[in-house]
Amino acid sequence: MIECKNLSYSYQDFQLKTIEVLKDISFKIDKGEKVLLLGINGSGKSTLLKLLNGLLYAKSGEFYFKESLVNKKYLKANSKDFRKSICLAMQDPSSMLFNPSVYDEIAFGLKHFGFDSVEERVHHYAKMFEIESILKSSPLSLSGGQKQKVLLASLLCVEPEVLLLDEPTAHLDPPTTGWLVEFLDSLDVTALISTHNISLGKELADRAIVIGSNHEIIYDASVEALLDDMPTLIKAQLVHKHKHNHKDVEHKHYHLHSWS
Amino acid sequence: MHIPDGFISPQTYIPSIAIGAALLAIAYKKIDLDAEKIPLIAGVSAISFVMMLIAIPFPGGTTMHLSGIAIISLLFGPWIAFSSISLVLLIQALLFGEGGITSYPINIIAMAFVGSFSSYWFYKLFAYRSKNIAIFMAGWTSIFFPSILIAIVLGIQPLVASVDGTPLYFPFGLSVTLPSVVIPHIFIAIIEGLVTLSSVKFLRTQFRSVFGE
Amino acid sequence: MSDRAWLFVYVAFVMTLGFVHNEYIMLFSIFITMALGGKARFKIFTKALLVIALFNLSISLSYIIYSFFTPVDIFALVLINLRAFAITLLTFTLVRRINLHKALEFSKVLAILYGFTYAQIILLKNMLQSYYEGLKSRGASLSMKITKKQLQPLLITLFATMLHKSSEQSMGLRSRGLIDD
Repeated sequence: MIECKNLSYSYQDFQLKTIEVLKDISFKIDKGEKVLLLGINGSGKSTLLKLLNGLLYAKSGEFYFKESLVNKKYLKANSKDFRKSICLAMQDPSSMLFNPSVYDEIAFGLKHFGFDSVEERVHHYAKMFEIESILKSSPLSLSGGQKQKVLLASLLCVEPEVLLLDEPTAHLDPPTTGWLVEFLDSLDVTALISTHNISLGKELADRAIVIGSNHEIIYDASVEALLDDMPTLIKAQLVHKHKHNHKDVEHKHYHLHSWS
Repeated sequence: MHIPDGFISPQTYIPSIAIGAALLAIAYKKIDLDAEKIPLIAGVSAISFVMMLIAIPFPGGTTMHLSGIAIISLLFGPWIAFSSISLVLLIQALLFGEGGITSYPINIIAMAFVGSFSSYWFYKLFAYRSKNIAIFMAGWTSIFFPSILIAIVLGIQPLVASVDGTPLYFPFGLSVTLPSVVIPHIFIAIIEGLVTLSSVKFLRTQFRSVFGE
Repeated sequence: MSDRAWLFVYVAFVMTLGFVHNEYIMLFSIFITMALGGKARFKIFTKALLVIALFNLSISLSYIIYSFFTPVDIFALVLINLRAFAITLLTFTLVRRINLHKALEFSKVLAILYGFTYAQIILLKNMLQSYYEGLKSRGASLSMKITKKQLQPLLITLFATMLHKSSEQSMGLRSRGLIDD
């Protein structure tokens, strides 16, 4: 479904200094796979997701979607199909919400991509995401968690083949996080989910791609195996150590906390 | 400098609606809105709005609120500045009562259009001589020329709309509005010029990739 | 009635108030507007009064003083102030009662601009507020004023945030297919 070959990306910051974000990224994701994208802040996870959504273009390397090379020419010719097939939920959902009401937000994609029975579908997805009571509200007035739900409803209603999620639990309280985990588990879609919360990760996917602080992939295998691979976790800075007690004995060692 | 509702006659604001609409139509064509420009104008509008909230203390216990029109015009260009400030003035009028709806077209012509373009043109005029003087003059003119226009618009109301000599809108004539509006703004404009100078120079060095010349 | 229809009714009403020169009609308009204000009518009334207070009071007092030197009809101030208040009250009532974003949908661009601008204003305004609170908290400032030294880091934060947010919003528009690549 998705294949990246030696993707590299850099940009110039405001001071015209070149900042390397991704180096030599190569991986394949098959149809139906759910993959976790892990890495510390600044490792390039969001940039990679934007590259895969055709919002940025790699400085070198290639990105294939269903065996077609995705570049500016491809996007110009296939914009609508591409946008329907691969949907990205950005870390800040408010950057993607621009309609006057939640109803309009969900209906937008349905109308734009030519779905029929728009009203029925809007209500179906609103019910699925438990947002029926706020259909008339302006997305601007919603809480972070509600915005996230509205955005996900707006993206999933167009039945994409691939879902790219950038830190989907960032704005969510624990109960809503639990709801999202269950929901994503039930979805029959190819997904790439970025997070730095690794203990949440094993609930979300079977496979993990880890981008290190060197902006390269340092791990690409099962989540289960990663959780037992302390050297890799330390290298990727996905674990921490601090003073804590086991019964009355003070310890300090690398560990993970479980999410709740 | 915003003119509130109720002080401008329809004989003034109706033709101003036509002028304002024409200028906005030209801006729309010049800017060529796309996926980049729409959020940029939104962002510039927001920053103009917030800059107008910033209060800077000055000697004598006075405080001044930044206008920021010249800063925006020099950094983003006069057409984007005009469009963004027009949007800010609309939001200010609708949500905060700063400036009125009936006076909106005059406010956008004076502050957004005259403010943006006078600063841009005076910058161009003085830039060959000294960049610092050019930026200062841009800031100064962005306040001074709009104040003249506003003083004139207010001052002609008794001439344009009165019944038996009794004013129906703004009650003072040009002999009052010109000195009382323009003179204080000459001094306010000096402060705006100085703040514009330090801000533009500073922002150009901090955001070379965006504003570098 | 749709939000867009209410917007057009508002514009027509405001234009009418501009042409009418009768204090009783102004008072009647204020009364109708307050009725339309619903439960929030007194809040809206107070807000409208406070907003026009400074400018209208200064003009009115100046005109009263002026009348000691030049023969003028100071009762003209009644109509002028009532008209200013009537229009301001109408504006605030409209904004309170309708979804302005929806009302502006007759132009897709204007609706998106309004939505994005509003979102950025909230974001940057909160940053400014947080900055003032930070200065106060660290003892650097006692009031809501800012010195030139303090202005520069603030401007960096505001501009960096705004440029980043605009870039994200631009990608959001493209990602959702609203604007073609």
